[in-house]
Amino acid sequence: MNAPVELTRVVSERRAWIVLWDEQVRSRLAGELAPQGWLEVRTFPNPSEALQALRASDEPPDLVVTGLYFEVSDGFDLMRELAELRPAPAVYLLSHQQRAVIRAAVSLARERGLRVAGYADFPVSAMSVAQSLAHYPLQRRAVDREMDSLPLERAELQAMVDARKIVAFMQPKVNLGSGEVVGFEALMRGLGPNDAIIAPDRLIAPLSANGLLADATVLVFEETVEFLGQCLQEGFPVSASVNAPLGLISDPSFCRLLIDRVERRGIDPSWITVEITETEAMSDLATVTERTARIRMMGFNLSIDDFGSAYSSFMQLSQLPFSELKIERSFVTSLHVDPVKQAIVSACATLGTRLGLHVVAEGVESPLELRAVRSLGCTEAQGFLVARPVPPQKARNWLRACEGIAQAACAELSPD
Amino acid sequence: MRRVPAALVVDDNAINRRLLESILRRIGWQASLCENGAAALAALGQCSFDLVLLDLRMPDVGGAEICRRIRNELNLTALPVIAYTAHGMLEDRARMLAEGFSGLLIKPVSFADVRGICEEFGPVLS
Repeated sequence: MNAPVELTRVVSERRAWIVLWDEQVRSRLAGELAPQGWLEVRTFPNPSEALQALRASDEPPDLVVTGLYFEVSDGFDLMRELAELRPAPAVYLLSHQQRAVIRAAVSLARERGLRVAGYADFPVSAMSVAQSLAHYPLQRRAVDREMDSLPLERAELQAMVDARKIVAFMQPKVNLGSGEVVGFEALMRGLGPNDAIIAPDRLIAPLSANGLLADATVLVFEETVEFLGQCLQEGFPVSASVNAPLGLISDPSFCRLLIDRVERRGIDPSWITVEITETEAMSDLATVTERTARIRMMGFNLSIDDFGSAYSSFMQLSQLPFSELKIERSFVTSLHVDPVKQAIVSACATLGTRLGLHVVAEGVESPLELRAVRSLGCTEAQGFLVARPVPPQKARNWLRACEGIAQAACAELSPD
Repeated sequence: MRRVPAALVVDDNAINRRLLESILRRIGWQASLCENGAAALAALGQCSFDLVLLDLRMPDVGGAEICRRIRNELNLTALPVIAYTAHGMLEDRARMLAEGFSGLLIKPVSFADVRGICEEFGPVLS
């Protein structure tokens, strides 16, 4: 396999479709895109014709530039069908509509799993649209695309579990007050052929569908416990979080297995936090209370993950024995320029800290975001800015080397 | 010469004991380690300490009972005794302070938490 060759292939494969009712804009944009390296540029006056072409074509577009309002059908219909394609194309939205409508369309596209290459409202020059698309990252490599379109099968998954090819990657969490690394979240990864890393979005749903998620979670848990034991014995007071579906926690034999692993390694279970998603936490109160209380009784801590992605009632929040609340990353991304996100993060942080919980901002990727979540009252942060998830051995080396680095990152934030 | 402040760590978990010892040493304290309440009471009867870090959940005698005996039987009413416990809900915190603990150290602890407790309750270092 030769990466540069594949990349060339992908460049020559770039196809853009333009769906705009205004013929002049349409052809002008097509004219601007062609010299920017788009191999095939097709234009359509409305979504219906584009969809017809889509059904007839076995070479779907990599990018669709579309308007929102049309006489017949609309851009929303088009996006719904585009999202069904594998791989789904990226979309660029171009519209006369007010900003609020365009923004709603952008979030809808993302919701449906479409990548959004950008958006602009009229009037805008065809050249500037073409230029902004010229720098849009290439689609994933062709080979990855083929692989991605094939879901992992039961036999492959079972073989991965048997060979312990389900592993934990550790992503650190820093305290925003002291700059200390206070913990790691264990994230599940699969190791495919040649130990290529398989991301959770291709892994977790198939594991679950094939009844293998419990086994896979135990593998991640065991690796995490060993990692944690080594860190603690080296004198680093760090905790570790593991994600577990609520369905598994409700199984007493699964819980006994967790506590057995912890006891065997001689670790106090309070160093371990079990994360459940907000969506799961907000189902039937009695059931959730029983399941979460059992985990706390065993001495583990409990975290509510992706907070803000569902609709918690204050009643549920006050009743469940959580020790940590993790704010959904979409509220953290670019929050320093978005007053709405700031209001939401600030409210979550106030609520969490008043309830005596740790409040973690997830997905912190820039110093400005870090500064913002800190000033809004979050107590901890996690994200690429601090570090990407890495295998346990690397995480421990990182921990040894980084005591000063995290502190330096926070020192930068000293009040100005 | 400045006296090195001394802490007594009472925890049935060996990894925790050694970890706390290591953190305390790094912030200029010395630590004595006990794995149960009886040993802790014996140590407190023999030596003087500036601070006690007491795990609440231990198999033989629980931390709350040990704290009561430190106050009533050993008459160490002014000694800072810190409950070292898994995450306390707000109401637990109030109850533990009412039971005679001077403060709380919430597990999982961080380096800064331990340093904060030592600064708040330890002897004033010149």
